[in-house]
Amino acid sequence: MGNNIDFEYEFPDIAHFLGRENTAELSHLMQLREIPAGMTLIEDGATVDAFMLIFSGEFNVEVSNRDKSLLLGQLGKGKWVGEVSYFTGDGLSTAKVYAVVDSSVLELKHADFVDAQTRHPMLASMLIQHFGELMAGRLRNSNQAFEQVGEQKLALMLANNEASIKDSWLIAMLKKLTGIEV
Amino acid sequence: MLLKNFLKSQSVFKSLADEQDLDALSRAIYVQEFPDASIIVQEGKQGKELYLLIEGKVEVTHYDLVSGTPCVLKELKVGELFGVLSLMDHLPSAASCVAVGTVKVGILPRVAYNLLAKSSAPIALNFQLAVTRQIANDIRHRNDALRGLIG
Repeated sequence: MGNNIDFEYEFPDIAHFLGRENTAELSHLMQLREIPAGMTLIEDGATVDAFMLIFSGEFNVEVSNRDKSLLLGQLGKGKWVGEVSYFTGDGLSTAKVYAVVDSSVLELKHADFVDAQTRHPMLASMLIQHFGELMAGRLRNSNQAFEQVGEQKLALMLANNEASIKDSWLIAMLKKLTGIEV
Repeated sequence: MLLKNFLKSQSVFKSLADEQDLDALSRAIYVQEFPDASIIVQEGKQGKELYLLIEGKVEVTHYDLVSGTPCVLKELKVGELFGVLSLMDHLPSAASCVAVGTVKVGILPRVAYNLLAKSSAPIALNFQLAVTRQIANDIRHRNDALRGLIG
């Protein structure tokens, strides 16, 4: 395993949080994977087997329900995908992610992360904290989008399944939940 | 049921398989009963504890500025953790959690939470996994509800 990427230089925020030793260990566990333009990295609802950190390029994130889909926006360098699938335990993705241009990701297989919980508990603990804070931030930010629409109205919309994909609050909440917007 | 057995039976705690870890966590959590309509978590106040619903029903409500009334966002299931966000980011709770009927709740004080949240000991790591699983489940739940509106 491993790659030739200077992780500390490329991802200073993550490296700072993890510390030098853990960063080196994480970098060693990650594999670089090239994703050509147009290729799907994650299918909506499909099983995901890795945490993926975008290294270069850009990815579109799309959510769908039945035959309708909604493009939420783009994720670029430094953004993670595949973390919610791991922690919910079912391994299933919540969105489709595909490369807009030739791109690459650093992959940490879920299986290697499980292994790291025994072999490298400090790294595993720091990563869990990192993902926990990341997801908590998304939840917290998506709460703010509630303010765009009264909760009573939102509850009614949810109950009656009536909202338009043009509704800005709906898009805003989904963008925040998927980490496209902070 | 003993708290330890309850923890063992809940999916968010599935990584806490070690008997000693379960014993230690059970000792750190105290159980409290709340009568109907008790506000366990108060919206707008910073959380001091992490809660685990053991028995009964708890509703998550948010004060709606538009209508001036509280609105039920979600009903918690037995085994769910709540009060997590405020403990993690030290910001006020975004919603209230209110007892519906008499409820039994496990409470982990902030000091114990902080010890577990920042250590790499096996028990802490498994606890962090449990908390992070709850956050991921909350994201999935909200995501599913919202994407249901797309079709």
